[in-house]
Amino acid sequence: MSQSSSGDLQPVGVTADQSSSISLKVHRPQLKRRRTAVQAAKRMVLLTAVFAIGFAGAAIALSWVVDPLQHYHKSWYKPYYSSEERYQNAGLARNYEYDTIILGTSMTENFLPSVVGKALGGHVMKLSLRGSLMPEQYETAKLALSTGKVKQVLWGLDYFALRQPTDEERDEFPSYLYDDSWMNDYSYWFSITPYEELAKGMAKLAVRRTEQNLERLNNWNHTVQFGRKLVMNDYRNAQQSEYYFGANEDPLSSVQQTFNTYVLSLVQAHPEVNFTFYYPPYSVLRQAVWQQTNLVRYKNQLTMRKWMFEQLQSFPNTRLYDFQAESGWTFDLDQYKDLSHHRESINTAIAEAIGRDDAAYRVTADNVDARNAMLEEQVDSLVINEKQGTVSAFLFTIAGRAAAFSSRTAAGDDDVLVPVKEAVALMGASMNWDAASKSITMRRNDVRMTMSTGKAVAIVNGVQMEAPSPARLIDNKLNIPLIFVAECLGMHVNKSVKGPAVTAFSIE
Amino acid sequence: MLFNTYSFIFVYLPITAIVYFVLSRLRLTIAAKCWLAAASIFFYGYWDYRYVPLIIGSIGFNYTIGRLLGARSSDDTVRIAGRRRRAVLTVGITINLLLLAYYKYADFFLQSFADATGAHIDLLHITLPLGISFFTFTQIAYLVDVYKEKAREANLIQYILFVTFFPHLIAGPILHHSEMMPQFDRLRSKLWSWRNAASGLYLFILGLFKKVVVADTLAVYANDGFASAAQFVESWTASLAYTFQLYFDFSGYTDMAIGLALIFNIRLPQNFNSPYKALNIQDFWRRWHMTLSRFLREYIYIPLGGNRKGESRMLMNLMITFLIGGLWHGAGWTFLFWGFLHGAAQIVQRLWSRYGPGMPKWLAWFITFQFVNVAWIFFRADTWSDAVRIIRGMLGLSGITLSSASLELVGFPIVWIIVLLPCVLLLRNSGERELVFRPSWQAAALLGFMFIYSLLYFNQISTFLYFNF
Repeated sequence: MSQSSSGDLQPVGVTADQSSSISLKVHRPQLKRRRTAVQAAKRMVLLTAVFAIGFAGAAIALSWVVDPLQHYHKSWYKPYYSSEERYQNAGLARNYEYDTIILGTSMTENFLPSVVGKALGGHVMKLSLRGSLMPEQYETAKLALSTGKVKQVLWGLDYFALRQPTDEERDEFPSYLYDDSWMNDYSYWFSITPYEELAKGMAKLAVRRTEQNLERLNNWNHTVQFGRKLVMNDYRNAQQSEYYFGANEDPLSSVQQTFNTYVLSLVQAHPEVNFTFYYPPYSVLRQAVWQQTNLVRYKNQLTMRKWMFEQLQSFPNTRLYDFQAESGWTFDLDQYKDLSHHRESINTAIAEAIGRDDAAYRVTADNVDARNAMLEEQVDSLVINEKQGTVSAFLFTIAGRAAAFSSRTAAGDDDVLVPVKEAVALMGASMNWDAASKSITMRRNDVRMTMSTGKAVAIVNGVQMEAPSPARLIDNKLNIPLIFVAECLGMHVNKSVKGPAVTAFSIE
Repeated sequence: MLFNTYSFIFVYLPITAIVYFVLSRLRLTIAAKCWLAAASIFFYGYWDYRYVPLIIGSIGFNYTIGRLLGARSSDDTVRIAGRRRRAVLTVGITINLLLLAYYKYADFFLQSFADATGAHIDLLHITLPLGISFFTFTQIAYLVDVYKEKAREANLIQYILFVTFFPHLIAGPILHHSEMMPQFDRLRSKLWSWRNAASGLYLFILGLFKKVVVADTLAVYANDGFASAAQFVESWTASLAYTFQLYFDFSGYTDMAIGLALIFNIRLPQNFNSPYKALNIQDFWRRWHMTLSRFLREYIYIPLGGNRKGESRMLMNLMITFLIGGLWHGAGWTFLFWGFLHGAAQIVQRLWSRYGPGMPKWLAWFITFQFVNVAWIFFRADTWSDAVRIIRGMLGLSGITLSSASLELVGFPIVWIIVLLPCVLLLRNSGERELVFRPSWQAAALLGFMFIYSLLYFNQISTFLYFNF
């Protein structure tokens, strides 16, 4: 270890005492030198303060002139838009021309302003905030509405944006950019980040020679991968990770309060503006994960789908569209990059459907319950084929009654494995399990069929038949391919397609 | 509260200083000291008030033990002597260490036990109280000093002030009672001094700049690198970025502490003396976190026997000292291993200096710097596998070629490293600068600029590295 290093540990007083007023033996020149030193020090401290104030003024002037976020004025140079939407959107809302705005989370980032403008008839500014919660969307909306430029709003309503923000999330939002006070703008004046962003952005543009434009700003359609494989991965991970959230799910009252404070208040305050809301189409697996891991949230969001409509309905300046049960999209996992995020083409289709006021999606008092029922039915009858990365819904009616099974597993493309006990009970058949040969024998009227867990075949009244799947033990329950067994047992199976990937079977 | 916040610089510091000097001027000495002690406790509790009782309890306990050990009879001999005296000291130190062990190491020990035995144990998830390692070590040193009759403090307010004086409270330097308290009693130190204010301001702004402009910028690159770097250039950039970040962060913060204390006419000991100029590892520890080195030497290495019990015993003492030093920095195997590396390097150096050939200066510097740089990897890495990944990358085992996309990422930090390396090797450090500092309008202009420029970095995300130690 080192030896003592106390070279400069001497207390300040030691040298000072020699010439202090206490000491009587003072040499005049020394005293004078000391006085000038004190004066020089005093001058320097005060000068530092003066210079600091001067440089602070310069920093403020610079942020007004350069204004990287275009907070005070449209830039006089070719601008670089920051991809930090929370910071950039305030300037866009203040200083750009538009009459229509897009609000929402990352689900709305892939809207092309030109496409939306054509469909809705307007000049569009996209003010989406990825990963945002309602209070942040509200601040954005309020600022844009306060300019008086807005005639219509296209607003994607995500249930999860209605939860309470954490303290950290509350601090993250630069609200000083969104209010009218310039007093709190010091956070903008004295921040290096906008300049760094500007410099980096300009360097990037110069090196890559790519143009930045508002049409594709923060659009991630071309920067991410889509596909069923990724969605299935996300599905498996989410089943693990989302269990933890269940315990602190926000109560309905809080979610409703959030909606009233941050959405409804604006609708009410701006009767001259047309508000078009829509429920974004997540993949059906998103709903399935909620149902499996967090039933409270699943139920709450279903409740809210109707509740929000009821609140909006009394305002003539609102319209609501629901795309969450559009199985043509939500069951086609190749349209997604994870459980929720879909391609730009779906955003375009949404804009066009809204533009033509498509009755298939428009929520009305007459169809709001039916819509919820349809979505629930899809989730309840969902069959996931993890291997192929496909999903479909099989709705069964057995002997005239809707049949729900405790589990459903894909058996090829056209059949579903369901627990045998539940199936035979509904079909009015009987069963007998032989543990030695691991085979199940089912009887109905005069038909007797046997299947084993080994081969995908069945013996029906002594005749061997090809089955879509052998009987399988899943979670300690024996499962059989329902449609195949029903047909073998002499029942009549009627198939009707109810929508893309949604098929109804009536078994008599 | 942190030094690099608006609330500290524009509210806390001016109010604390003005009230202190006004009270002193009115000759309300005790009130001034009480004010400073109370302000320091507020400074501590501002972040998390729940730990205020903890630090007050710790102070009360150590003050009591100190009083017991320091008590004198009428003939000025110590009241408690001999074996009883030793027992009182042992109890005092043990309780301090238990407190530290509970708050800092309990989870680490539980986790290690669980890993070793396969048992399932619920961790305690204790948040580390701010600066607990610093105030515990300061007070242990105090107890030992009182035991050796080198220090005495009868006045409770004085004692509280000694422990909590806000400049050194959360990140050191680690002080001796004797180097601070006599200064508080000196008459002159109660009066505002323009010369100390100028020097203090100079050091504070220099430190602020080092911390928020240099270290916090490098931190972004180091964090990125340690999270993901695997390739050769990326790994080197990550490790060097962290090596410079740590130095500028910690020495910058210490500069601020010394500067602040100087405004109150208290001169704290120097804590850094251009450590990366070191030519061997012993030299490095004479320059890096000097007050910790001093503490470990005086209160661990020397009591273990130092070099008085033969060479092999000395080498073992060195190793023990550094293992403890490693663990002091953090509860984790990577910290322990970092301590082990430094202990081993000390041993190698002792043996080499005796038996090995001499080497040119540049080579000695190069080996020392590279060793320190590699050792910091274990210090910084969150897990063992992160450290191994970076080292494999630096050895070129994970690919040499650099894609143009990652070139965009490492471009800026490489420029930083190229600029900073000559700075830490050739320039005078802030302590040396302060000694020869002469007030001038040029200095004022530079300080004014550096201060405002540093303010621009406040609105970034920044956490001070060293207060979890």
